[in-house]
Amino acid sequence: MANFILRKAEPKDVSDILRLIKELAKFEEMEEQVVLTEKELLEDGFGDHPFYHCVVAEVPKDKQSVEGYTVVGFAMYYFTYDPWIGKLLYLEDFYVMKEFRGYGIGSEILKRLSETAVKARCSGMHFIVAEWNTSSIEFYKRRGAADLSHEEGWRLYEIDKRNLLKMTSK
Amino acid sequence: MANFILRKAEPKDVSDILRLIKELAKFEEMEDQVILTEKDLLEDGFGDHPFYHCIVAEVPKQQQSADGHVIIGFAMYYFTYDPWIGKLLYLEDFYVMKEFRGFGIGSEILKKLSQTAVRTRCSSMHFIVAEWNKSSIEFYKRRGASDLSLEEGWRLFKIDKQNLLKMTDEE
Repeated sequence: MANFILRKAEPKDVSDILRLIKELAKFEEMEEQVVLTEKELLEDGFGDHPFYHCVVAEVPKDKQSVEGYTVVGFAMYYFTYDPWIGKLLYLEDFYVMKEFRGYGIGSEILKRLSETAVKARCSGMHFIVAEWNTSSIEFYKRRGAADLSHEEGWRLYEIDKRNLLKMTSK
Repeated sequence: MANFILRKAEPKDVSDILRLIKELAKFEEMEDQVILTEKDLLEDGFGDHPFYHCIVAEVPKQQQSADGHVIIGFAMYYFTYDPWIGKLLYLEDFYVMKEFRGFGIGSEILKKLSQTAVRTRCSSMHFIVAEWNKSSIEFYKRRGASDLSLEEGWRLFKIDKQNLLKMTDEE
């Protein structure tokens, strides 16, 4: 039923990308934490050195969302490096608008990302999932995902800007 | 006592970088898992598009290690992107050879990484630590690190090559 295409994001998409980032953040009850702007997304994603890559899902105009959008899903990713095996594809954000779920858009996006990872000679794809998000965990486990935090006991840490500045001034 | 300098890694350093990666992996009892080669490190770090960056710690020849090395510590990092705040510096590997610890080399490396992060307008530095690695956890906590896994319940997942290929084949 859902007619859609997947394509690489272009500069004109930054407004939709930011909208979808905020929608996903809202789902995680963190919408006010999104301080990123369209200007930053533009500079950081479409400058000389892209800091991220995006795939967007687009539907034809006649299938637009209730509020009139045709870009209805996205995945943001970048490449990381594992010192034991080399390049990895890191899936940072992945979201399909609620009214467009169940049509295989998510699966197609993941498939496209898998092709990108293999083509770029990555050894695997990494991503984090909130431990309470059981439906996402199931979605990924059905595709062979393994919980490294559980198996290997890794914990993600952060040193924020304030503490970085503290260190630079010591 | 330890006279050392920190500098950006150069192509000639890949052999030492691989040696230190293996030493750190050995500490984690995972040495046989290191399949990366010097050739990979060279292509991936010093080509048109670097997939990682390295800082190395070097001592003068008279201060070389027991086995004759002058590159005695390193940090491997790259830039990641948080969709809420933008650029982050991700610290991937960080190691100083045992005989050179206690001289502030680790602290200097972290300081240099902090400067790099601030200069490139990163919002923070992220890294993972094994939950059993108490001394590292304390080292980072002393510098203001917080455990996001604990606070926010994030879990790191992976889909390996075999399963990626499976997905690319599916209709």
